[in-house]
Amino acid sequence: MHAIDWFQLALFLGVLFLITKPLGIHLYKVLTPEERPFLHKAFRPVETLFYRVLGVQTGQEQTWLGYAAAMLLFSLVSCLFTYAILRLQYYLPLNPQKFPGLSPHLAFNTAISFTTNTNWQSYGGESTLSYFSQMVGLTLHNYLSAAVGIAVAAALVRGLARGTSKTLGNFWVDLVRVTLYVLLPMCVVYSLFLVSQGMIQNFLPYTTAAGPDGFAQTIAQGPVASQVAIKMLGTNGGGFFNANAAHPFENPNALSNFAQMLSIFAIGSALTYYLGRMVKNQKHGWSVWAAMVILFLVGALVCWWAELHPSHLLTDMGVNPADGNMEGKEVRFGIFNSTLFATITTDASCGAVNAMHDSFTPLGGLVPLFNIELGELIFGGVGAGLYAMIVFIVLSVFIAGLMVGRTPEYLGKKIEAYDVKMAVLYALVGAFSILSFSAAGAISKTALAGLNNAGPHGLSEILYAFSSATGNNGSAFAGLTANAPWWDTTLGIAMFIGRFWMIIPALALAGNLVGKKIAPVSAGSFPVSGVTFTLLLIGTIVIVGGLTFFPVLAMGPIVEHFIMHASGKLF
Amino acid sequence: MMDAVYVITMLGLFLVSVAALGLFTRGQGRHAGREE
Repeated sequence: MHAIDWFQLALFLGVLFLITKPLGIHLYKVLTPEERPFLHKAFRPVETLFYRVLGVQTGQEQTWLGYAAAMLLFSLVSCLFTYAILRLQYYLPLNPQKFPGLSPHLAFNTAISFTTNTNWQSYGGESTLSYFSQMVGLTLHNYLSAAVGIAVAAALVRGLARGTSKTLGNFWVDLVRVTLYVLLPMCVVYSLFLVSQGMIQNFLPYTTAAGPDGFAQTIAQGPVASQVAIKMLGTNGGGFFNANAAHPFENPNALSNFAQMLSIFAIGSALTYYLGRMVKNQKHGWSVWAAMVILFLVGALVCWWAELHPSHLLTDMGVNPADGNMEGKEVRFGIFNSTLFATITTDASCGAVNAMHDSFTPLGGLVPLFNIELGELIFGGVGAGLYAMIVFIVLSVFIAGLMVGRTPEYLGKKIEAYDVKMAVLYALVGAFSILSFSAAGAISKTALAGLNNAGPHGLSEILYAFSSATGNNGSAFAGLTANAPWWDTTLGIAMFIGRFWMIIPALALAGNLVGKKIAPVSAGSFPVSGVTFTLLLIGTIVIVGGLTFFPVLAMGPIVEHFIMHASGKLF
Repeated sequence: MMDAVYVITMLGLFLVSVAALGLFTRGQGRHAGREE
């Protein structure tokens, strides 16, 4: 643990803290249609044009049912659109390599993957997809699925902030404004920055060159920077190249690596400020931010420590103990930047990787897996992290209410049976999908045919795949051949469940909360800021996540750790 | 043929989601309404 690494960790948190307020204020202005955000003058005509073309009545707000129905309809149409592009890519333009259309099961998996902001990739981008498929079929979803997540979070926050209302906003207005005023301008600037660091952006056919050993090698190219910017900022994570952020064209240097990590957390962090601003309790927003930072730091430090202290099996082979476990890591980034990236990408629902999580030590690999299973609420997916966190706050204040014998109350709104049912349903849907599909994968001969590891590590492979799919993360342990009908189909369904069957109870919760009056703060109100609240929230998250998944984690990475150290056996 | 299977699967998943909207509407506001 070098001083420079500690410095970088402090710098990362410092910059994240500094951007939270200004970006949060910008989000507040964008998500409040009466406000005029930055670039309003320039983009207002485009915004108006969208509303005219789409026939959107901007002054007409929707109930939670209308909001959810619009979100589902939009997602269905865009999902089918991408499925068609992927199946027909051979006949579409910008395909210099003449790639054929994807198989139906792979197109199904990929269309759902990008619609749900997961970006699980059962394919290698440079060997499967045309530039048209990458840009129109996939990058389009990188923007829109991120905007959908932010819109849903905004709807839930409005449910808390408004007193006795029926509506949560207008889905179409939120979608257009977030895309136009937040994602597009930020990504234009960010893409140019990435190009300045050496990232490529072209439409050239692949180049053939002679490698150092004399053999010909194909150098894949393409419009990389424009996809990487939104892939990180929108916590999508789908790499242009199969090696994702470990590829030098997709992550050229230390500065691009730092910027990519920061951009994964940027909007999730700013949304906590937006929450505080909306509910007129900025301390609450910062307390939620603090809970996220604490959970992030614990994970990052455990993962870092685990990779610095590998098994004696490595050192027995002559590896310098001071080098740690470098298997599966880029020499350019080293242990610290690999573990920090792995923690960040799984705290959020990003899923981009600059190291192979499969090659981490069992305890090092446990951290990303556990992060996903906690619900990816540590800054989380853009929007998804905030609405997951609010659901856990509802559970926390309910538990606190039970402990002290008072009616649970959150920001002046009484938390009643329906609210708790929706919050619990939200938590159970994810666990049900992860554990049920993993159990099915562990006993299905068809599924096991795609598995490249035995024993507890094999279980971790299966568990990671379904955790990543359900959590809409998209990263993978690498020992699974997922491009097969069984895996593509089940993972596709898991991604769908993890996105929409969790958004629906979250919006139903918002719809119920928005109808309740806000009671003024009194001595009997439960404090939703400060140390006690932050610790209660962290405790609830860890206990719910820990208790739900501890048994299966014990059979996977935990037992693998003990077997490896006790008997030197690898899987 | 397989295209039809996967497109119908997608439609089915979305239809179940829409059905859930109706299901979750029931019981909403019941407790708050009773108190008031």
